[in-house]
Amino acid sequence: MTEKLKRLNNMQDRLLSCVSVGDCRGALKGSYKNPILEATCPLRDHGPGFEAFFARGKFTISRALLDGKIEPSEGLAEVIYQCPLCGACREVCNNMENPYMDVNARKYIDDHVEIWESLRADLVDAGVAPMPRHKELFEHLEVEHNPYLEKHEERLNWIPDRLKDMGGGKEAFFFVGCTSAYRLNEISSTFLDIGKKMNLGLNLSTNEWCCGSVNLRTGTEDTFKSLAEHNFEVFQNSEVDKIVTTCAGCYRTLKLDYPKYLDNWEFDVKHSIEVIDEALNKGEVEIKNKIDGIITYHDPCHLGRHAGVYDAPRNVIEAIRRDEFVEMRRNRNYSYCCGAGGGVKSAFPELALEIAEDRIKEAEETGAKYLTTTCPFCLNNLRQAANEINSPLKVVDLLELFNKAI
Amino acid sequence: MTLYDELANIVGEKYCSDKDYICVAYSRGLDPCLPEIIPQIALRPESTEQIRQIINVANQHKAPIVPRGGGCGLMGGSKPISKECILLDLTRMDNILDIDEDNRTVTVQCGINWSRLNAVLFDKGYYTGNMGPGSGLNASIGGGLSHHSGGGGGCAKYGKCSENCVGLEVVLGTGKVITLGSQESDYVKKPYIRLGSGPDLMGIFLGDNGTMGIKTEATLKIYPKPPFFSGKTYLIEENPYENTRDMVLEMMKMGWSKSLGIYDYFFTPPPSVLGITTDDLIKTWGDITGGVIFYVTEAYDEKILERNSEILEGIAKKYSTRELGPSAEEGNITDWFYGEQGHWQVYHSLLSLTSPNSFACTTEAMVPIARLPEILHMLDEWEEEKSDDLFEADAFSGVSHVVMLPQNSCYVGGGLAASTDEDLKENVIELWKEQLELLLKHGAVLYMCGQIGSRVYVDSRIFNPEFYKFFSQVKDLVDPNHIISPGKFRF
Repeated sequence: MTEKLKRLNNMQDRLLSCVSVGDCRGALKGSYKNPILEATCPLRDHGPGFEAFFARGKFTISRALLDGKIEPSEGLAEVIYQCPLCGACREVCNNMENPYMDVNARKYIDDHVEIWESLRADLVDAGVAPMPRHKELFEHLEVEHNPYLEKHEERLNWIPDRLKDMGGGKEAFFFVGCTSAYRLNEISSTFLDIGKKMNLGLNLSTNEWCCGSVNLRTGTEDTFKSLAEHNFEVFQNSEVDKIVTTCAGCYRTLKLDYPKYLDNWEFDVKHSIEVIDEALNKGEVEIKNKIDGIITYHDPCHLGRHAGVYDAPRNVIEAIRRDEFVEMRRNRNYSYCCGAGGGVKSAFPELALEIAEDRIKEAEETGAKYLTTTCPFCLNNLRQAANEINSPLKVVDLLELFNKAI
Repeated sequence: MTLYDELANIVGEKYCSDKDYICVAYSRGLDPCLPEIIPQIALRPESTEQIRQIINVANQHKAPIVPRGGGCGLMGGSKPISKECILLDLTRMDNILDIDEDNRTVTVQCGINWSRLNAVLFDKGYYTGNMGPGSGLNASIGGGLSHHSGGGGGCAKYGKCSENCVGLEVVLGTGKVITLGSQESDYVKKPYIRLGSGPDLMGIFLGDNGTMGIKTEATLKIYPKPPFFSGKTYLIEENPYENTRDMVLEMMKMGWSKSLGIYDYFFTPPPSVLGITTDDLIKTWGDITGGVIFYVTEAYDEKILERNSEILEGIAKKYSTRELGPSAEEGNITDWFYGEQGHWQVYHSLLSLTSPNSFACTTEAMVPIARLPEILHMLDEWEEEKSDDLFEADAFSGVSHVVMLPQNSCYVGGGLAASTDEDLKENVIELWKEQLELLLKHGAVLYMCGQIGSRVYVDSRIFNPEFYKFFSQVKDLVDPNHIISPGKFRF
């Protein structure tokens, strides 16, 4: 056993708790009364499909590493990094979905994603990871604090002139995130628009750095820590106690990961869709123009499975729709991943796109005009996939529809 | 060319690997006690033709092949026996080739799993009846047919999954491809019935534990899924073995599935109930002691369901202490398993009960229902006799569940829950073999043999010598170089 595998070594009981039934590959859910669906790992139907790519195989691999049967290698890392960390494996693993029933293995294994992240971090320590593309991006990130090879000083260049006076509010820190700041500007500017209409008192800072999600997911924990510490200081200086973000990845990181790494973290983190849902509940916002056309919704893994936010986006859709809202067959906790997460989009772009094409086809089955989501990363990948297969679907952030409705 | 190069040429580099980190993932099944051997090459073929070519290459190189479906074997069925072997991962062959609603059959590639197949069939209002093995719906159709699997739902009505097979395509160890069932005739366009055209040679490949060939395509019967179901759970405190037997025999006299629509009937013996309540698996059972039975009946008509439920309830009350239920909150687990999210995997969860400190060494045997009490008492006595050895090996013995079959017999599922301590594994394996031998010598038959059970059959001289000679001759005929699943049944 090597010290290089210190994180896995601390998880031996969790690794031994997998008995290898293999539901993590694909599990039938539902029965006589509930709709039937198959909750599947995206790597079942994409990529080489060997056992090593699924949770069950990764448990065996982890034990083999600890037992010295195999050694860390770049080839192994290439397998482990094709997982988008969507957490579908965790969702089906011995999930009785019954308040009266409980299985030990589920309790012991707990969060699968945490185990895969630890495995990646151990592989980084062993010098065989992350992927070459990740290394390139992180070299830049160390200097410019974003993984998009852009300059830090241009982080807020997206703000349209008409909204230049926004951003000095005192209610909530608007954590823009790298994707909205440098790529999908329409999401950040739409939310700023919404903020103006709803008087959300948003505060923006030029000192915001990448949240570090991409580092944490790919095992570069030290870089993550320095980003988190910097952002913590920025938040403290902003003198607000609430943080809002439009990005599901940033949300998961700020809400669930920062508290694990930062002492005295007491910020209230909200996704923009939760803020809107709350405002609708309180009657603080009026829907003026209902949206025509069937709407469907893709649950981002970071917001849904990882953070349990399923109702807020659906409530918002309910409020703005004139026509039907039609769920995709795999939705909520059994939603199918878009394929972009966990560093897959940057290191294995073709794989990410293939997975997203499946999701687009599933969305098309609903007959929807709009495929909505609440994550710029999902949006980007799904949009590319829709273009790739010439889908008639309009892939939009839910904020855009909401903004049209108010 | 090397063996690897030849195989990669057949399936493509993407689906062929000799890397240790790929191959090591195939060293494990649902039987963590047996040695975890890393195969030399893992392959994922996509067609019968590719498998035919692989067999030819394996014959040239005298390289053993282990076929693996969902990897859900409980007795080493899909694990490599030697490090020289080629692991044939068949899960890429997962296409549904035809759903014939007029003939009520579905034809699939054998690597498809029960989960995916039934998800598609449900959309059309059908199901496979027998829903696969209790070890998991991730198990493949090919694996199910190789092991006469059951326990994942529907056994009381539809029997073992192999009983529902009407067509089969197999690649033999000679590299020849044969079709069995009605398609033994060149003039039958679509498979529809198993028997006919002479002797039932399909039977050679059903329950063969993957030794007689590689199953590539199968045609199964499908059934319209009845819209109505009802389930009951009962506690039996007094003489649970005898009362269960008598209850089942009386229900059988009343027609069992054919008249009463019984879909499943499970018995959980008292030690297993104790394990379930101790571990809080089913919280609503509280601290009950005794055996628990539950049954599910299904119907196409609500009134028929009501009538059948009434008859069954009358019989169940005669032999039980009290009903657990009727709601799930009051202990009736059937509504949950069949009605909501249990997806028929009633005892699937027991496999995960013992981890991380223990693992399961499973013995799955079939016995006549009339002899069920005798077999269960015999296993209890064995546990008592072996208490010192079990203690030494840090293991527990017991029957976790009994699954009723349609006519006269039942599956008895049990075995050992043993420590994960590597140093104790040899002792545990010896006790495991001993228990298998005991069952077999008391007239039980194993429906799943895998590595360990198939060897016990031979080593303990369970087979009639003339039968084993014939069995070996058949093996020689279909796989002359013994390259497919070598070691099982001592082939």
